[in-house]
Amino acid sequence: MLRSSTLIRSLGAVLFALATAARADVLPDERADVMWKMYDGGGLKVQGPSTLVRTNIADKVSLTGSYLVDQVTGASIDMVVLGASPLHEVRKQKTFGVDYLYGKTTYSAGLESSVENDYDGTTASFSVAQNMFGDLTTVTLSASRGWDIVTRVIDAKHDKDPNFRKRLDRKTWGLGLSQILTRNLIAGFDYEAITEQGYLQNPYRAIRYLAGVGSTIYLTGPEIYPGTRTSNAASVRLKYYLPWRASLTGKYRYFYDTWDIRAHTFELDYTQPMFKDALIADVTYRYYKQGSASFYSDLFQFANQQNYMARDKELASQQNSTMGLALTYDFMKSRHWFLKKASASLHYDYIAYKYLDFRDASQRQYPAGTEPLYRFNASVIQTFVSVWF
Amino acid sequence: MNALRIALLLGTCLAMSACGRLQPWVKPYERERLADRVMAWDRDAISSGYITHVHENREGAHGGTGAAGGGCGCN
Repeated sequence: MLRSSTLIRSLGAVLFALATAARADVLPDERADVMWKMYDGGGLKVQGPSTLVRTNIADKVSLTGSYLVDQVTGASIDMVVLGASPLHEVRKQKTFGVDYLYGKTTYSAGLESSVENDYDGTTASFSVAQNMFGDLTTVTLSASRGWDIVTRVIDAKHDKDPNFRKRLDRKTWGLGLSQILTRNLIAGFDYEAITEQGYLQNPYRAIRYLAGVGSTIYLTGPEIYPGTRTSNAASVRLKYYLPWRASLTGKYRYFYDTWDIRAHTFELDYTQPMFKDALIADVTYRYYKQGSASFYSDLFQFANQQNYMARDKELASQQNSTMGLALTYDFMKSRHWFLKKASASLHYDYIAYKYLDFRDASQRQYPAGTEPLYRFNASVIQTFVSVWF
Repeated sequence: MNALRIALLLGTCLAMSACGRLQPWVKPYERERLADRVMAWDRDAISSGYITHVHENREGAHGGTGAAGGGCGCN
């Protein structure tokens, strides 16, 4: 089991991103990318290939397809605390999308499928992007629907619990606005509402509670989540062209949901071409901070203390900082055979996670509730080749 | 009360007349810099989707960025 609650809700966004990647009266470039990626942090390593292809038909229709594999190994802090066996899992994701350009309007539709040994997700999405006001403004409306099936593996051979099969349904609605403000400045605004209903928790994770009044040891018990969640996210972004041919981007997002999570995300990106445009460097800094969900606790006082109880660190108060460097080298800048150009890219991101009310319960030499707060660092590497045709 | 109505009417007329005169203020021939690839919101969809997914699978917040990615590897 990877994670139930955030898996498929992000899948539809791939199609949304593909659909909104272009302005509304021009189809995106025909292009193919092949990537190898790796995430390493918090005891888990996730790696595997990914590919994305886009091709156009008669300047009216654009087709996209992608395929991604995640090979997951290791054990997270939750698994260490519960004494679970290390993971050896594979997730495969396929997407297909189509964009149809009609005048200044682009209609987009997509399907996505994600399959792993204990979680299947399917998402369908649709969006309309309209270019207006002398092409200074692009407005995008989007909607998606997801159907997930959650199951539970009960042994190392990946046999499933025959009595455990849960559903999770999801709907999203989005509004996007891209606006040219000056000849050097563009702005963007995005809003998304997400409603989820069904099994929103992870069947393997557990809460912990004190063994008794005044006890210094803890016991574990099942998490109990609400059956619904409604989330709202709104973001603004600005991108400015600097006089020496570079760009600076600022982003901010505010998020809140019916579980009382409030989150702020800030990001600054700087892009600089070098060596007669043969190399482009991107430097990124991102800061994220959130408060905990109303039913989250690192250590409950007793079993059944509340109607809903969670100890998912994703729902804990936390902050993290990301520093990233990306280099893109154009190794083929003119047409060869049927290729227009080609580039190779290497991205490295370093993320420092810090939790404010989630303790490292694996350190059992400490009395329950006095363990050090959990923190870890992660590295993310992406290397890929892109060709335009 | 009448004065308030007149003020509202005048204000509305002024606002509407302003809308009527509003024209695109950055002409197509002035968008050379905006068309430069350093100004693209999302130069590499395959990469932005992946890094967004890395973040979303370890944070409580999600969505609203106009770009995201699938996948997990969390627990």
